[in-house]
Amino acid sequence: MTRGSASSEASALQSLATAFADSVTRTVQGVVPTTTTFTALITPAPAGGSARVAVGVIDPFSLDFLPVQLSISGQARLQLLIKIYCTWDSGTTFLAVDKSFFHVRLDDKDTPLFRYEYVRSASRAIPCAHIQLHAHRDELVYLMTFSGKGRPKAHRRKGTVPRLAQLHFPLGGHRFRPCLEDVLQMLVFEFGLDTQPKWLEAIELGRMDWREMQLKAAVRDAPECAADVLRALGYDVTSPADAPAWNTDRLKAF
Amino acid sequence: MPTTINLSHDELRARRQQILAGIGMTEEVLRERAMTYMLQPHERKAFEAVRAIDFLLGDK
Repeated sequence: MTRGSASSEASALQSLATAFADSVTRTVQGVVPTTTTFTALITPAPAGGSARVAVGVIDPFSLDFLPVQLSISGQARLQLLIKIYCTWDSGTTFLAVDKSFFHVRLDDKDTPLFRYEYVRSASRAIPCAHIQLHAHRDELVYLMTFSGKGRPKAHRRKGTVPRLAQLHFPLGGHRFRPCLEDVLQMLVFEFGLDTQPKWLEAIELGRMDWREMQLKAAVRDAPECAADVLRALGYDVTSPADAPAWNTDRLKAF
Repeated sequence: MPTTINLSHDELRARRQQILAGIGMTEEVLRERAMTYMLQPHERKAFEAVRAIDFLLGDK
């Protein structure tokens, strides 16, 4: 990479990271009454590596990631910790989410109530997009150690008592996982959070943007599939001779 | 507050050291307690900050 291109890449990263952090701020402030703002913590690319970005409510001095305080009937009742780690996509064109964490807590105690997480390079044993519930149910814990194979075997080998929170419930893989807006709407509907007057509009606009972006990514995973659908709808679509291969890793991923 | 904070790898490593020194426990103990949800609120914040710094430094 030349010096000039490195500089323009850094500038592009700065713009994208700023726009992304601002869009999360807009969504959150559009849904719940808060003045919380999101920040992108950026570090340059090391030799042979990629620049990286972490987005959250970040204390610039301690680098603490702070939760968004959520209220019910004017009283602080829940906390939502949002952390999103990004890198460049393979074409150095977009910011790609490498990991995301949406943790819902009652207060400052360590244990969340539940957490939505995404890990782009997850091991084969856990789904890349998943939810974990911090609750108790004896029957499930019993089943988590019953089998002589898979994760139950690992629990038995380690001699550790499994927790229900260690179950990873799958949520649609890389492309069809829930977005921040889904989590916020669920919290509003299920717990009656205090909201901004036009909160649903903010949710729906954000979700449309998210799904459009994910749809484009899904099309890149299986372009011929998209071409077939468009042809069936009457579009004139000609596949190129050197059509890109399907991204079967993404399509198959847990 | 600015929308972006830019830190070099050296600055991140220094912050990481400060954070761990500030809570008075080794990284191993911090991780072990995090795995079993035994962290105090200020320790959990430190853990989350260390995890974010590790990501930014390219450590998985």
